[in-house]
Amino acid sequence: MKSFFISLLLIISIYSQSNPLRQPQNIKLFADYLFCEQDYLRAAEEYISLKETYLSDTIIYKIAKCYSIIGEFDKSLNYFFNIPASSVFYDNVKREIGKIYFLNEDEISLNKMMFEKENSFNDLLKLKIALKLLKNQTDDIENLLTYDDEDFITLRKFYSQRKNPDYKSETVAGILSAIIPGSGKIYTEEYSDGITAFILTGIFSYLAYDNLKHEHNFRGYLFTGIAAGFYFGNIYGSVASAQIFNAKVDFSFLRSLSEFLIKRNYFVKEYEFCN
Amino acid sequence: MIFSLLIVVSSVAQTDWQRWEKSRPNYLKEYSHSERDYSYSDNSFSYIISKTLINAYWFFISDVDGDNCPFHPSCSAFFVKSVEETNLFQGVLMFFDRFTRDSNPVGREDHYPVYKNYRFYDPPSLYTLDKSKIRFIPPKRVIE
Repeated sequence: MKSFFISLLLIISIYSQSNPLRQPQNIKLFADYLFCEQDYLRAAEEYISLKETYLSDTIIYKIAKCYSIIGEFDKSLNYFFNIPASSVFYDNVKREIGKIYFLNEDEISLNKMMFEKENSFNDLLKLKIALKLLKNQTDDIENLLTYDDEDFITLRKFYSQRKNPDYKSETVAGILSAIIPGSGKIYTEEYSDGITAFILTGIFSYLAYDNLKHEHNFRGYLFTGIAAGFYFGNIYGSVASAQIFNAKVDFSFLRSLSEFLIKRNYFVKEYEFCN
Repeated sequence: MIFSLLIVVSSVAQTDWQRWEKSRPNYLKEYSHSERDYSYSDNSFSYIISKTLINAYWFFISDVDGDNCPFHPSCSAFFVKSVEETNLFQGVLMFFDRFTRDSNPVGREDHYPVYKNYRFYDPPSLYTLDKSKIRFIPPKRVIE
């Protein structure tokens, strides 16, 4: 009887030490909660603390997704690569990996994972085209734009914009400013700067002319120098302005492309894990 | 002992003023003036000429007149940096072009990014005609 009580005491005291909150089911429930609360780093850590036997494809996918969202792409790829081809997630895993390669601008790896027979091929092809547009490698894009769905139509528009951008010619800007001061800036859509350049060059040219005419030679030469400075400075500035305008065109293009890809979620399908 | 205790207690009691932040808050905006660096960082002839000219301008005219240029770097600093990045001839052209932009009061808010000292950010690197240096910065973005 005495030994029975001692054993009971031992068992109870040992059992009381165990923490039911750290049981696998509860860890998973808590991790799911964190995932749905968008606390992705902690969710991933909770999922990882589960034993290997509990790591289903869904959980591995969620871990990889967590790391992908917070930008830990290397860790994310490690988990995505652990999902087998037999999994229901496989096609979307390839899209997720493609998205990571796109964001890393890794075209070689993206090419290696594209297989025409797979369901994800079409979406990976879109990412490949977008990556080429991003890097301004337009030579062989036309051959890739073979499909006719809505995304390809949009990508075709982006391709046409990239191929024939609305650039302003630096030479034309310079020549225009040489003919009429300020007109090169107006050509590059810097209207107020163009008008200012015209007024400044005009005023100082007039001052130079008027002073030289009345034989105020020092002032005449001084204003001639200033007028020449504004004249040639404006020609130079118009060329620079055309370059800046072209940089702005590139910037706007990349921003539009980025907005399109974000809107389309980089062609990745999202699962409703939190409903 | 009681006297000492009284002093200690009253001293400690005074610290309460600090704890509750009994101080006058500063409502003034933080403001940084244009930095005036009079030192020479290059040995080229054109740089020394332009830097000496601008140092003299800063010392005798600008500091007396006030910190008025709406751009960062200021037009004078822009000239020195332009000469440093390119050469005297190109620097002068860049300066005249900057002076044209400075003379234009229209639509600056919608055109330039803003530097942390509330000036319009317009660095010389955008105007050197070196395409690798051109980086478009959207208007109104704050540059730290």
